[in-house]
Amino acid sequence: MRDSDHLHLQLPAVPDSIGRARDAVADRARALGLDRRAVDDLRTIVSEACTNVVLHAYPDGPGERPLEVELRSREDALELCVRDHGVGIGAVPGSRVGGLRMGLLIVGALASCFQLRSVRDQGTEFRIRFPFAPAP
Amino acid sequence: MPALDLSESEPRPGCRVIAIAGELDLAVAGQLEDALSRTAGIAEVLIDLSDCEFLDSTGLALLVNTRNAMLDEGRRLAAFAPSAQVARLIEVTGLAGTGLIFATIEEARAATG
Repeated sequence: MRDSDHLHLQLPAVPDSIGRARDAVADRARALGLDRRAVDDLRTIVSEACTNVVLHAYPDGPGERPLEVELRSREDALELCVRDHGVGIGAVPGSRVGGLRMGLLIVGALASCFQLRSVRDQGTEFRIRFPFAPAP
Repeated sequence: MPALDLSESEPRPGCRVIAIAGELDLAVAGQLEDALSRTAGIAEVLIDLSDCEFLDSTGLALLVNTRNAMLDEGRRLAAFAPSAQVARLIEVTGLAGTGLIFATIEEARAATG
């Protein structure tokens, strides 16, 4: 992997960051040679994952609200990671699981596989893989 | 903030067309929500997606919830001319064929008129 293939964004978890993350991931995916449909799928996935962070990760309001987005090119796949350091899923009973339902449905349908790891009061990490063979 | 432009027109009495241009996500969904709230009393609302470059579950949920509320009031809402990205979102969420989104304005009008 070349350093230029690794995208790492550190943004505040606010609504305006969703489009910034979406655009940055789309630009990098196009540069790596993904076709339009794959780029669109990635844009949708990034938007869903970041929207979930903005809406649910930091229920206590303003303050430090970090949102991290990483995109790495592996040998046979792109790996997208969206991470927060918030309350974790299930910390506020019923709130985030319900909010996740539509986003998870969409991410699950568009990605080849994804992992969701959440630790109460430490944060949540979405890790999503896309099959992809980068140009030599 | 993604660029979003909304334009509204009334091609005939009782029908309002809201054209969405740009990207619709959480940051700007309130603009569409405001436009939809201004349709109270209008029987038929058509959403033109031909210049909508991006839609996610936030915008989709807004359309679905508004449509359901309008149906309860005896009014109708339909969208038409989705981009490839929007069409794929509709497909994976199982909303294809539910009477929400149509390929052309003529089909949408036939469903709502």
